[in-house]
Amino acid sequence: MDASTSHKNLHGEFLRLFLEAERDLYRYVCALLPRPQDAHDVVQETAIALWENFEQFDGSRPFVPWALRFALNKARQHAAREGRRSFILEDEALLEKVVEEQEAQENGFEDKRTLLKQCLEKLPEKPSGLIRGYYWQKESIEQLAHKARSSREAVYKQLQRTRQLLLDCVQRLERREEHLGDSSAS
Amino acid sequence: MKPLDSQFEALVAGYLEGRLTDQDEAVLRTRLHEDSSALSRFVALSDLHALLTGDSALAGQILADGDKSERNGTSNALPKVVPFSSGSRGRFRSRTLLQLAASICIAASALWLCVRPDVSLFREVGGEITGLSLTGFSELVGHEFELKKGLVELRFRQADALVVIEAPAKFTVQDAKTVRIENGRITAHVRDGRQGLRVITPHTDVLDLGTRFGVDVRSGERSEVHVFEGKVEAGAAGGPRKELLSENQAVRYTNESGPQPMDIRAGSFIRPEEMKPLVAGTRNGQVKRALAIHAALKKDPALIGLVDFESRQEGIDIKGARNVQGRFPSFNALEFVDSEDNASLDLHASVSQLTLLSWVRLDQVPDGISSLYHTDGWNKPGQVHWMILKNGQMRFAMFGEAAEEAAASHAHFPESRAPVLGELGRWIHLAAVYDSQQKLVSFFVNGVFDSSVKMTGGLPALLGKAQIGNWNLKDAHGTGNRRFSGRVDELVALSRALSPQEIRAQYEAGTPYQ
Repeated sequence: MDASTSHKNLHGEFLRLFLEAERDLYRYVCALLPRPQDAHDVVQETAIALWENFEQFDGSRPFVPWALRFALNKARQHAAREGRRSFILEDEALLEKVVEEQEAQENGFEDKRTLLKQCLEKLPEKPSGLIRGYYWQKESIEQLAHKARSSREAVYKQLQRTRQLLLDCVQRLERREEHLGDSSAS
Repeated sequence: MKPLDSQFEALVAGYLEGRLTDQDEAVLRTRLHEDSSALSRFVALSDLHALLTGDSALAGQILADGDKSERNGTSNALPKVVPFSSGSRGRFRSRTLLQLAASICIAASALWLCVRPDVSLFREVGGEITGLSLTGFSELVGHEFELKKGLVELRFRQADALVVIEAPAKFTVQDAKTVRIENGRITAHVRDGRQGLRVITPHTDVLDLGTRFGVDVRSGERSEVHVFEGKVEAGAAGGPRKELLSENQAVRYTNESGPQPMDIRAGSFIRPEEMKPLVAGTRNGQVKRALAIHAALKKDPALIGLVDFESRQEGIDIKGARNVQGRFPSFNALEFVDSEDNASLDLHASVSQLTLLSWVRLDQVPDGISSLYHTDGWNKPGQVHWMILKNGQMRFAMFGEAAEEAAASHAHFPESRAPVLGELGRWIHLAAVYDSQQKLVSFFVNGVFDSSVKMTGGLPALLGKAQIGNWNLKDAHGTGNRRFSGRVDELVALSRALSPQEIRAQYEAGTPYQ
């Protein structure tokens, strides 16, 4: 195998592993730096660092834990550079607890996406519009408050309630699926 | 998990929105340290936030739906829809990949690597493929492949679908949404809300209408379409007539006839969700471990018989059953589909202790008894019948023997407590251990002890002429037709009672998953 082929194989292997781990990385970083732009930037910087160090990766070991170490370093560097404070990043013991809890809740994270879509479709128009505006159209709280003819505080409150609604809905569907799984197996 | 107190919920919301004061942070930090339910709720809300902010596909679908309703005049003036361009995952993904691609391009001086393919290789397990040299960046459209061994998982970007193909297979990716398969087994998982993936075989043409489905093609013979979820439109190749197939429906097309309904064999297809543990298992050296313990078993002085279907084994007569890939790409298994499929052998033994071990993969929930290993007839003391019942429990029956206490589900044969059907569509390791001195039968599922059942007699176990999988002996009572639908990778019989630790070791070394 010549050097060029070997290099291409390495790229392919890296891309496969990275694309597989990308959601896990984003989820991890998002708990530390919840501003979407920060989380996106950190994952992006992590991707580059992982590629630069990929030859040191031991292929017999799982990729995600290795990648998470880089993500943590990049999150710290990003927070320092951009002047972001993250009390979780600053507290090793708490960071460990959060990661452990993330691992405990890891199963089904991918499935949650499907359930979340169903829940979003069921949302009444007003909270649905709020989620669109805030999360995907990047409207400011002021813009959203202006549209809704209400206060900033009321919009924040409504956002909080909508997230709770969505989480309740996702968890309800998860329980239903578990129940269906149980009954089909008996 | 219900919302916690309003102060905590408000603190988490403030954290996610980036508007906590130092004092708020201190309160939240203390709470997360001291209250495990608060920590759990925090991670659940943070995960939701990650999904809402990190998933461009989800955002795109919801925004597009909103756009449609706006055009239809059903929206109450929702904000105007814009492509997710600022700060969304869409931007992230393209930037990341472009940067990665750029660095790769510079390093490799290969411009073709910079293209984001419509159809690409996503994962593989032991894949031996001829055709293009595959990397994650290779565009597969327009190429023909022969998969000699293993499994490949392809990502169809436009159709938002993952497709698993199992060897031996010959296929061509015709365009961004179409794959033609001449032989082999293919499973498609089209993400919710999407449709339009097309699978063409020599016998049929299948169009996805938002679903999960599988197609099994035996070259020159037949094609089967199995729908696990949702709907597909299927028709005979080149024919105008199309049929709508729904969840749990399966149809067989042959060269000679039109569609014939058949039992769905959902478990016989490798689905995308099974690929991840298979990839991890292979990567972490399970093949080597499995080969090592297999070699050790072959040297066990108590070995009566070991059937692994790796090569033509003397004394085994196979009719109809197909030789297919086993739990690892380099392993073989025997697949039983029709009730006539059959493998017979004669172990010639009468033993006071017996251990039966098998790696199996069930295709469907049986509507009767599924035979694992049945000696012919049912009239000689000690004759062994090993099976899975309709309710999923494993049974070890010996003629002339009975359980001291009758099982709840059936008269007097020893049965496992746990059903094995929870593992439908996965490889499972089953074990039954009989000890005539102790008058005890013990069951193990995936290396874990299930239960022991005390027997009344203590007869030696008799292993004469027998059948693996389907038991097709038509005896005078007409009872000898017990179907098995699935694959058997290995069947082992030993004239000693393996310990729970030894059975655990068999499972741990032999499992393809991690």
